[in-house]
Amino acid sequence: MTYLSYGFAVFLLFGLILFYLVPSKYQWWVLLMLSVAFYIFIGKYGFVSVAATIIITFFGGKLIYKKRKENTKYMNVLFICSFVNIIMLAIGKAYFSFSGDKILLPLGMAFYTLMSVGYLIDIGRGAFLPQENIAKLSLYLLYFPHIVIGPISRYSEVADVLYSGKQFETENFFSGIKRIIWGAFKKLVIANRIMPVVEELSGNMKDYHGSYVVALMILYAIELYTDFSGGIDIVLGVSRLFGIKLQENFIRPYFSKNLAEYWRRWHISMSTWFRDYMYYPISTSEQMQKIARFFRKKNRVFARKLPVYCSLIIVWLATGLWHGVAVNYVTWGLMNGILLILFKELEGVVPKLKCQSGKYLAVMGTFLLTSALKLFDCYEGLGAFAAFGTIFTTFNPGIFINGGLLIAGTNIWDYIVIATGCVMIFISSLAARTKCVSERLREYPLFVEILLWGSLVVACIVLGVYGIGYEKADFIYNRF
Amino acid sequence: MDKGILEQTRHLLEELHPEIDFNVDNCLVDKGVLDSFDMVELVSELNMMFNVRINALHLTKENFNTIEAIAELVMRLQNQGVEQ
Repeated sequence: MTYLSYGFAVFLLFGLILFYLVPSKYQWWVLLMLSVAFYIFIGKYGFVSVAATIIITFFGGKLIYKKRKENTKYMNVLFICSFVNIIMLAIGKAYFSFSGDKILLPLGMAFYTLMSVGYLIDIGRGAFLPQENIAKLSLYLLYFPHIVIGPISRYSEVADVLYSGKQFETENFFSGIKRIIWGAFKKLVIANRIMPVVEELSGNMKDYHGSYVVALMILYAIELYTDFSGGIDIVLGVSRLFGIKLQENFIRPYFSKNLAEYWRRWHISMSTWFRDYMYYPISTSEQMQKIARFFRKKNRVFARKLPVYCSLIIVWLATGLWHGVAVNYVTWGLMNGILLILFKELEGVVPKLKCQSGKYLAVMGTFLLTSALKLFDCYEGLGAFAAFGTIFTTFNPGIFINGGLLIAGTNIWDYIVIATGCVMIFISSLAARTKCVSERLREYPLFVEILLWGSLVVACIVLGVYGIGYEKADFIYNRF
Repeated sequence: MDKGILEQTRHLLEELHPEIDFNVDNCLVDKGVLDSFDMVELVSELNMMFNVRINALHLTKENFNTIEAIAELVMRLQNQGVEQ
């Protein structure tokens, strides 16, 4: 039962009716019940693991608060609880990497582990009081819209809204439905259509060189964005139906003018998590500042940069491992860290093109760079380097015009649909720069809006790629 | 507001971003003038220059959005140090 299945639609309808029928003070119980049912149905055996995380986080949070209040050392409790949660994730990831078996890596583990660790750290920081009701904490970690692919919600941002009562509002309902339709369009019409080509290209490295790798870079970049952001659209839409607004996870990332900006706009909840709970604490730690002080006498600029760069490498290594305990993910993380440092160093040296064409070049360059980095996701080990190298050793651009890309059962119409979908996303992204697209559409007569959303529904039904054989086309971020 | 701290902070910021006119640009975090790299570099400098201890909790938009806010944070931490 993924978010795009008949089973989920029935489940959602039942849940919504129940949610708005019960008295408002019991609504969060309905959400908890739905979340537990959803998790048991999809996650199955994984419930044992998530239950362990809930128990550790609940009692750990209370103990940290108690020790903090008594002015005794709470850091050891915080460390042990976080360590146990992280080690469970690490074991699950490592076992999955080596055996391909997800038995120790339950549904959403990468997401709820970060949420639980963030919750514990925030209590240690005195950001809020620990949750006194284990059922309420369970709802925060298990909340069914965000457990599968995120966003990695912060307790301080969602707690109040999760537990408070809500009235049915047509504004929330229609906003939610529209967001779900848009997400479904991205996922079913574009991402699922690209998927077989990406699988064929990445699975047969020996047969596809040169321009095929360029095609893979671009197609996978489109697939990952439409799959992940489409999934997040559905998640935010489903949550909105219950009157709960979750954090946005993407802000037109492919419009970024450099890698650092890209990471402020792509998978925002993850990058801000690593920034707030790892990068800032490590870089401003006593130890790191001591090292900086030591080098200050020798070179002041180097001394102040050292904490930044050391922490950055550590954090990106962790980000790579969070995606998977495998050489390709670790290398991907390190490459990101190294390139971020490199671009920061070049910032003052390379003159910026301030004209409009310079900005377009920067956007295109950043898109190509981030697409190239995504190759680490396509190939195991260090295969991405070898594949990328063939771009410069094999000259075969003819594949783009001689039908060389009509592989894995695709035909020219598939590419026309993909291109049309991309143009639609591009236009909506441009439109969203100054105002939310939904708000913009409200400026038009109602029938225009109905026509547009109706067309998207028809497009999903007629042009969507789904059905038998596409159960495997679950969201890519499920595997993280 | 201690003008010495304010001026030294301005000087540090100008060193980090010579291309920015800090008299004009005053929403440093909101406008993306200061990113997380700059904030940590600035923290290292401020810690050493003013003998304060800025930690991860202080790295908020409120504390770093203006030169005045940064100087205020330094003064606050200096005063806390004196009280302790």
